[in-house]
Amino acid sequence: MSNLVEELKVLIIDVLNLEDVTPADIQADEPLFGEGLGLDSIDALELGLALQKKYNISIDAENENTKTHFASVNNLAKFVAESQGA
Amino acid sequence: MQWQEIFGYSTDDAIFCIGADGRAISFAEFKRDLADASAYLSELSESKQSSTLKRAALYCTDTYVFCVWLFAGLGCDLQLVIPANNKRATASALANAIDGIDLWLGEWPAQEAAVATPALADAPQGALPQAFTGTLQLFTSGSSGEPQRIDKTLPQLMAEISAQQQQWQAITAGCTVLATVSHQHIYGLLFRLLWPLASGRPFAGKTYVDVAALLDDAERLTPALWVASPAQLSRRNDAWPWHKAEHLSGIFSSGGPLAVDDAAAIAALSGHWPLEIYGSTETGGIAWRQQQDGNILWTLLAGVALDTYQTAESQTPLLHVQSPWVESGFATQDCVAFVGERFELRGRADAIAKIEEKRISLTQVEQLLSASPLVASAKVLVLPKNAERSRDLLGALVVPTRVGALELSQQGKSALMRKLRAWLAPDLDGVALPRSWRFVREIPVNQQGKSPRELLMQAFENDHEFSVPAAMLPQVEATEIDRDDNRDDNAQPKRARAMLRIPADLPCLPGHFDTAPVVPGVVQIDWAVHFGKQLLQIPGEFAGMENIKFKQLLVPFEQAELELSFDTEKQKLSYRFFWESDEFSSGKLSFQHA
Repeated sequence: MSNLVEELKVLIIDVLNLEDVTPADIQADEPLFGEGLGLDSIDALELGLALQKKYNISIDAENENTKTHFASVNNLAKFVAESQGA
Repeated sequence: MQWQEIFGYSTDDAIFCIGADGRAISFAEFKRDLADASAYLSELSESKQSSTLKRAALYCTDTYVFCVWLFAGLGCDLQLVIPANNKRATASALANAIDGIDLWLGEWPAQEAAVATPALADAPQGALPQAFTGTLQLFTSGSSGEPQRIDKTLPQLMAEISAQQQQWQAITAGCTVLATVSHQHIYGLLFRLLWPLASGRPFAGKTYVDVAALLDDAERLTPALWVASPAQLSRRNDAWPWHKAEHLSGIFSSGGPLAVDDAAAIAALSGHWPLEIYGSTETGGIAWRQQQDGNILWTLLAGVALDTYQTAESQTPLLHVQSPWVESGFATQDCVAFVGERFELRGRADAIAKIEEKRISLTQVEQLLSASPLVASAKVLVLPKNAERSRDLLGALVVPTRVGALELSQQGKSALMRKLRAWLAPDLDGVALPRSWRFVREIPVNQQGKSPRELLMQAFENDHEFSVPAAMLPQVEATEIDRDDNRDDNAQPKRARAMLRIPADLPCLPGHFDTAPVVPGVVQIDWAVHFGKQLLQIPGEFAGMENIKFKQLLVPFEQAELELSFDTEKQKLSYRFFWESDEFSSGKLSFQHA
């Protein structure tokens, strides 16, 4: 899981071109959107797309859980791990 | 306006909306909900003094709930203020405006105590409004600055709907409307709500985030329409079930022009060339185009009349619009070139930037930044999409205050960046938050004392030619290469000088040392190697050093002069960092041919 957390941090930085941000700057449990890392709605689109492509998982954005999945890197890692295991 | 002028459903059984839970809501059910919401508002306005209930702010995530309160408000003769978002800053700007807000309808987390919207099931039962006399106030698609308030009447909006209907009825007939854009903007309000209402078609209550889910629903609810935007259409996944796009009758796109590659990719995947609508909150719809067969020209909507005007600053003519749904003509800031009856758009003439369909006032971002105790002054500019940036984004050039500079040297750039983004976040949409940051001693100005974009851009251009990362280098204010008495320009120069300024955001400063940041000696040696290679074209590899002396501390914001001389026979570079009579460090570095 901790590998996946690090992998996701790198993915977030790469996909969203976060300049001057290193994986160490992203707290695994901090909010990704709004406060915390402060990502925006376009980032959500890009990140969702990247996750779908990289892990071949479907993100049902209409599902109420989606907000929870995207809340933090930890949650994303759990979601990716579960979707792949399923 | 009367019922029949707004609602085109032929029977009470007609499907009005597909609720967020997927359930079909009939026209009769809507009327019951509307009656209840209207009764609630009437009671409220009687309990208050009727003169105090005039303006209601309305924000809902669910388009069905929005629709119910919208028409309840219009039926109670209210002015409905419909902002793009329900952020704290939006709410306080509305509350503090001259005319204020008398009632908060829908979801207003920041105004919790004041929000007065019951769940529809709990509203008192009542009678339907007879007519809809209220008005609307919309906002320009600004994600920063003072979004401009634009007053609209229902008849104006319905006049545009009738022009759109005339243009597209063959495509839209019988379609359920699915959308990836919000109804809180004019485009979504018209295309995903008022238009289906007028032509008696169902609309989906939720705003789709996942296109795969939208395509699934298109199949389930066939035939369907997709009300989209360039932001969504430019971000695709080939793995989505595009074959279900055969259940779409068309794809609309508005908010900004769609890149031709995106239009073509969508056409290839879905079989539909997106129908692009050009317009703005001020003007409503103006024209449309489809980029099939390389077309870039826009065709006027029925009822719209255009002419051009010129200003002292503008090189090209700007578009002036008149239509039945614009109060009086409107002078846009869009540059235009006519080709017969049709026209080409050639960008905006003003300093408003547009990123991902959102207008951003750079001045406002600068003002907000400058209000931070960490910032002395700031300049903000749009950094265009390129090989390294997957989209247009904002860059901020910031001169920190003493507190800010201390923070920068103690906590590092990433931490200060994050603090400033958090400072801006309550007031700005995410897209308007600068992504790329440079902390400098002063904002660069040219000889006229201005800071044109090109000059500011230089701070964001990374230098890939040399091995030291750009962020690790000092600011270069001037260089001078001394070619000796040798007149041959191709000869390797012997001596050079560089005037340097030490940036406060060097990655090596944090922790070195917390209370008094200094440039580490090894970094100074790196700089000598870097500028030796750059200015004196030293070909070999760094091989050793001798006589290295550190005399005084080199600290952020200071100026330094670097003096370099290269002995080609011994392959040795002598360097000296100094400023006036102070010497920081000096030494000799030897090079070997690779």
